Amino acid sequence: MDESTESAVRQVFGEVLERFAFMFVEPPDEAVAAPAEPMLAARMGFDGPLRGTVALAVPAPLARELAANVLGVEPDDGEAMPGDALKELLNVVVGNLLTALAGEAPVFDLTIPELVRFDASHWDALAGKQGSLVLLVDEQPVLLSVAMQPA
Amino acid sequence: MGYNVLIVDDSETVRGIIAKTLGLSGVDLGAVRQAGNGEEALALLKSEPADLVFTDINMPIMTGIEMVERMRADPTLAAVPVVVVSTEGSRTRIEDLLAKGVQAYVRKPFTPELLREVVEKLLGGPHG
Repeated sequence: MDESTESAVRQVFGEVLERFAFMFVEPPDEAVAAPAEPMLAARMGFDGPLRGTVALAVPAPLARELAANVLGVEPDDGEAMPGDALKELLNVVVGNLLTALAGEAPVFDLTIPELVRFDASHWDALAGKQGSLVLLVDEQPVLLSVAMQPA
Repeated sequence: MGYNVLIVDDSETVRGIIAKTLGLSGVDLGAVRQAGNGEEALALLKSEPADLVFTDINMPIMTGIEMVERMRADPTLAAVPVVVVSTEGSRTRIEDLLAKGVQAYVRKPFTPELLREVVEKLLGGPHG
């Protein structure tokens, strides 16, 4: 991921999370280890002038907070569905990211977001890789991984 | 009597988000019903008419576009305005949706103010 793409990813993720869930994104001051808590992760693909996948992994407590925020309920409320909320967050991030990177003219086909198994070993494998960003959301680490290439 | 609204999306969370945001928008709402796909929505619309429909595009069983096409072909539903709510940012796709009989398009993430603006534009301001 080149510098301008990384900057677009950071900006879109921050703006979407703030408007979608009233949560705030910060860059970490130092390297962040994989969260000790279980994680939830979602992934989706896109195809058009650019082709690739985006994955988003978050600690389970943050996913509960996200689900509660988007629905305006308490985190332990049975109505809040963390996996569903995470998939929707990813969907909105990818839609807005593609417009930020390619403009409003091109047409992209998006796959339906899906939940994927994700643990500390997946985090460690992805965190240092090209295209991955580790950020803090409400002081909890999240991993956003973008793999893309021109079609 | 407020506006009766139908929200169509295969994600219960997304339906909840739209319902919550509409609730915060200050729009005078009557019944807010929900359906998980276009087929369910058409069945609901037949039994309980709505003033406005918010819908997703990609859904299992029946997509939002097929639902709109069927509504436009049905004299009892042809005049009900439909708003697509999606992450789609392509101008070409949005123009295609409008050509197929969709009245408005709302891009995610959206605000209560934006939903209010769309409802008032389509239904003509505060409900009498």
